Amino acid sequence: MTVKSPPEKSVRPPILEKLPNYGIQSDECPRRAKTQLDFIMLAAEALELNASQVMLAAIRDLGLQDVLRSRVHLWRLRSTNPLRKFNQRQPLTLEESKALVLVVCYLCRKLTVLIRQLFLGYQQLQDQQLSLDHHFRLAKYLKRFRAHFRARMNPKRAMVLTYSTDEKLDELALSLLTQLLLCTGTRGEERLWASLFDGEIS
Amino acid sequence: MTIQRQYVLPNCSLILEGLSTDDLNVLSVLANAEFKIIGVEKSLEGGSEFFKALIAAVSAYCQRLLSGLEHPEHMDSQSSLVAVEPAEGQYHRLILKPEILSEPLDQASEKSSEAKTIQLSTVQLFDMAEAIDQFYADAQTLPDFSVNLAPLPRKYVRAAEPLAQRAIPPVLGFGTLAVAALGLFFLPVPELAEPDGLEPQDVLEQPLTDPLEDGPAGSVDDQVPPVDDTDEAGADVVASPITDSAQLGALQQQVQQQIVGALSDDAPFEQPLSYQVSVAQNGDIVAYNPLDSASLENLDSTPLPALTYIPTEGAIAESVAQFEVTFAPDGTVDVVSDQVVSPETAPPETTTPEVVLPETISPETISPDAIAPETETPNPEEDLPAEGSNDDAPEQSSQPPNGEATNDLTAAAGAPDQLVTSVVTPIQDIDRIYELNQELRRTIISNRTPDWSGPELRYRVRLDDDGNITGYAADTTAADQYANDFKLPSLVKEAPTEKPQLDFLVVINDASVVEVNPWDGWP
Repeated sequence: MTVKSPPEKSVRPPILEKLPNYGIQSDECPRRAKTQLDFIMLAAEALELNASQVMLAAIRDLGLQDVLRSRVHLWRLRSTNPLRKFNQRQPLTLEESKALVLVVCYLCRKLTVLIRQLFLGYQQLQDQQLSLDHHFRLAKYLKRFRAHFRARMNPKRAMVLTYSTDEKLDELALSLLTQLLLCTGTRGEERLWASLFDGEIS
Repeated sequence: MTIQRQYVLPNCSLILEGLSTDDLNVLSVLANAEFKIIGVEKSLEGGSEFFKALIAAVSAYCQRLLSGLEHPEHMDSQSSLVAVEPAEGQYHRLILKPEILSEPLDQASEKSSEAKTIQLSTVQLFDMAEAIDQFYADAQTLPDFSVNLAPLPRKYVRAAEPLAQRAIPPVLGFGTLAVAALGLFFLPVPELAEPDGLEPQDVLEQPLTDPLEDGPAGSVDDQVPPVDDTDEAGADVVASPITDSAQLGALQQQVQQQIVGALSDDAPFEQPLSYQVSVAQNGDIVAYNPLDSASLENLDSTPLPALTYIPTEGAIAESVAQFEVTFAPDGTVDVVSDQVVSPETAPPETTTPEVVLPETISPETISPDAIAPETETPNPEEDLPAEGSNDDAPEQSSQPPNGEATNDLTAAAGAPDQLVTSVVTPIQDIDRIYELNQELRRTIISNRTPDWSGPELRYRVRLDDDGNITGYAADTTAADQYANDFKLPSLVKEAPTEKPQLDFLVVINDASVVEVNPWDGWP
């Protein structure tokens, strides 16, 4: 049997090379990274109702179809978050997590204006010592985030139990909003990617 | 030439001034760096050192915002020039050491030792970081400066819980295990309980045997019914002996009357017949055992088989008394108890150590000098008058046995010292030895003090062919002291030594049971 063409290589999207491996030996993401990625996507969805569609578009735009093959695959990868109700007990590879980081930052940049507006409103509320309900858009984001979180996270988990009150969930939503803001930056991908492995490398 | 680069963002603009050292217009030498932050009154200005410290701190703080873990680069410490720390709500504090700031002229009067603290909102801080990132992305400006974005090494992560708290669960676990092990150590090992269903036949047997027998329910396995095997009947009876002396005496009389009443007038046997007989509490003869072959042969001529009450099962366990019954050819019956009851009378300490009383021995044969030295054990505190004649005794004992026959013949009788020498002409007939043996045993039993008790005694007793005791010697120290209790000195009779004689070993143990055997063993 003659082979006329070279064996097909699985071509890695060159955009993934932007994110270094930091000398991590195993191909699996640490537990905290899975949780953080899912939380950031959850916050993005709370900001933008159409976020999942935007993410699918981002996959196409970034040329990551080989890594993130479909909507179901994306959902399965997000479900590797151990705090999810329907947790998929499967690893999240470095390549997949890199692709997710790129998609998240792509999505965040699209939401830059909204995020900055929310922060300005937040700043005004704090300066005037008003509660977060007084900013319509911010309150809407927080409400949606709480609903998303409670619908998808396993309430029996100890870490989820710590977010049992609205105040705690609002705190989490605001800190995730800060992370979304940082992801909009020039080096947002690198920053997010590096932060996923904080405290995990020797 | 001086180059100026600006990175303008909504809330912050970064202006870098420096020199280029090549033709590519790359800013390679930083002269001044200035952050103009909207809302902050004065711009932050400084040299290369200020700029490096600031971008490291701000960049690290952004990573802290992302991961929630503190980075050492932005922490406030003695050595750090710039620090960033979170403030209330969405605000953050930028802390600058005054020495790195190139103060504007109007600030020169201010105290330089005080650190400058600027409060930044999240957006302002982000714009600062974004300006830094844009500068970093600009290859035309300060390519030597780098903003490191490596993840935080593990060693900087403090454990969420201190070591003491993390050690509690395993310590608690091992402690519980140790306490449980200690507690269980003192519990007894549980005994294996036999299931009830394994022994159904015993349960069935009990109702069958119990109504028939009034006797105590003994263990069935131990019983040997002496139905036909009369030879072993007496020996195999396993029962508690009767120890009451009064009861023993009554039983003895009862048995004697039974046997005498049943004995036929003509005695068809020539020799005395000896039997060991077990008697139940009510006087029934329950078992018998011939003590020699002649007794076994002539068993049917005695009334014992007819008198024996063959007990049914369960009755054997009653207590029995052992008697020795001897039928003499002249028709007399002798019943001797095997056991001597020893109640708490006459403790050994109170008995006098008087062993051999010279008065009880016939005066013509006994010289007191001959007794004392030859009693084997030291005769304590007896002021025997024989002190001076001690030298006689070793001579006699050292003489050869055959020479002794020609010696003083009469001196042998009753003198224990003579017993150390061997008998000149021993009795050879085994039957006669046996008879003598039994006779001596009966003699001792019948002559002993009633209710005697004391330590085990051993005597060497010499008998002649007619059954007369011709001499004795105590074999143990205590035996010497108790000789009178058995009237041994009075039993000694004079006999010429040329007659056939034999030595016997008499052992009276502490339960007052008498055993007699030939001194040299059975031939």
